[in-house]
Amino acid sequence: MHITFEKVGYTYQSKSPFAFRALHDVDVEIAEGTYYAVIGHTGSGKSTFLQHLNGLMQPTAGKIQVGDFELSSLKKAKQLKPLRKKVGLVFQFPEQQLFEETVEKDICFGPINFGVKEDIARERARDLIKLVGLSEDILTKSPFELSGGQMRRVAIAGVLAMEPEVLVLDEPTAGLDPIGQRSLMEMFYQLHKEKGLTTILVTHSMEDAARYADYIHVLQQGTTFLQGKPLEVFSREKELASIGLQLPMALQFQKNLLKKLGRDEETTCLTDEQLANYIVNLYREEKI
Amino acid sequence: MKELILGKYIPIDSIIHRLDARAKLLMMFSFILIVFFANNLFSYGMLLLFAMCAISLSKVPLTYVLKGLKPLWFLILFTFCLHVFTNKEGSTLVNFWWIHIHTGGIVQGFYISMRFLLLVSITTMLTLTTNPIEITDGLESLFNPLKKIGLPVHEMALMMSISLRFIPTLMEETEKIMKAQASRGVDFSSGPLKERLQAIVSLLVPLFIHSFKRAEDLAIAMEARGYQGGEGRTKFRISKWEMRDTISLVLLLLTFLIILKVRA
Repeated sequence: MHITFEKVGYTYQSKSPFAFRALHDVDVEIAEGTYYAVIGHTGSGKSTFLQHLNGLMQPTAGKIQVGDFELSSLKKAKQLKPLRKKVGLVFQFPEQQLFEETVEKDICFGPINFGVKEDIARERARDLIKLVGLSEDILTKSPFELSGGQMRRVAIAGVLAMEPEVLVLDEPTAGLDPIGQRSLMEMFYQLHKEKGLTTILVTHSMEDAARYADYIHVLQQGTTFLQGKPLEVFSREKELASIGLQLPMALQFQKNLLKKLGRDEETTCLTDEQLANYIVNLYREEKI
Repeated sequence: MKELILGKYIPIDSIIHRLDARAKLLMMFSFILIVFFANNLFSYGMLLLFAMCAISLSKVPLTYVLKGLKPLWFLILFTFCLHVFTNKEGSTLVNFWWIHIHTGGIVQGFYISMRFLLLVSITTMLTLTTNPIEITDGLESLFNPLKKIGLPVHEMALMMSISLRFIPTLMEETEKIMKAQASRGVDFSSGPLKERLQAIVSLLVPLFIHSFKRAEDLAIAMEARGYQGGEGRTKFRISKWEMRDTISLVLLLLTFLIILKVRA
């Protein structure tokens, strides 16, 4: 689904002395099938931004278009269910939303709310539990017997079971071990490719943004600071540093390496693999 | 939601705010007792004067105090009507069909409503001008003598301050879980009863589970930092009883004496 934001702003408790402007003048254009990363510090407006995507918050200024659904400051939308069915939102620490007696029931909860038949929902649960890297016999267990990492995966399966067209991820791997983080991120990426999802990832990790995103949007103090393709954004090192953001490790390594060798080249390595290949090529060409 | 609970205490500076919490608690309790001694226009007038002085000295807008009365308007009106229609004292004012209204009923109804008004406004004053933590500390120190008869005063005060501390946290969490479930298609504001019940279950279960977990974490964290109950524990905030506290208590005592004098 195509998503556009036009001059979107959100003010908490407007018209009161406690008014707080969390978001202002944000323009966004997300084409269908894009992997879109949003980065910024805590308090930069990331959470406010992503809650607009499925109408949990409605803008107090500007206009949002998600597919053929419109949210505008002028007219409050009442029926949000059709929008929420299409936009799946994985909150930070999603394991907090588990509540059913069994894992299976919890995964089926979302789809059944949106009118999916029970047997179809169960089938989805069986497929998804494997997709998120757990075994099928976990379906009959209580979600509260599971480990933290397992709970996280179940909660994510619960959102995926709604079969959304847009997947919004708010730091989905925060607090997991490095291997778990990597495997979840890979899973999201596979889904993104296979099902042609539009994925919006909010993250602190420059490495994840660099590895997966087609487009990066940097928020600072509630508005757009920088946006563009990963290499474009990361070429503005000084500006990023001014708001306390660093380059992804691979890119930083390449930059330092080029400096050491005294070579004047563009930096191109967004991932570790690209960096490894780059170094191998340097060897082959016997430039080192 | 946040304004609802925290809005109760208004952090401004006034003579009433600066009074020791113990003095304010003592005054509130005695005031509640004194209210029941009043039985004519003069004595109620004295009490009203005292309450009005306290409100104006506290610099809290009168509208705030009246807001505390909001849920009670119905009760006040109801008791007033009950007295008006059932009290058979004094001369008859209205005698129509089954409605008999006597002067005694009107007067008594007025006094009882007044009593409500006074009780609520003075207790609201306490919470509006005293930080919840100070109230807890004050209660602990007032009830301290009861330790001798085995009442766990310190533990009770601790329970109270922990509850107060976690109200905002709980509010935040409620909001977050509601949003997460709404994203999974739960409708909290409309729909048939059965669905609404399930919506509430989907909110309450996680909320309870996290509260238990948090309680456990908190207990471990406190133990790790050497907490072992109230025995020999020193205080971070030390409240000092000052001249103004004594004076305000004396003023209340004077009011009481006058009321004893003028009551019928």
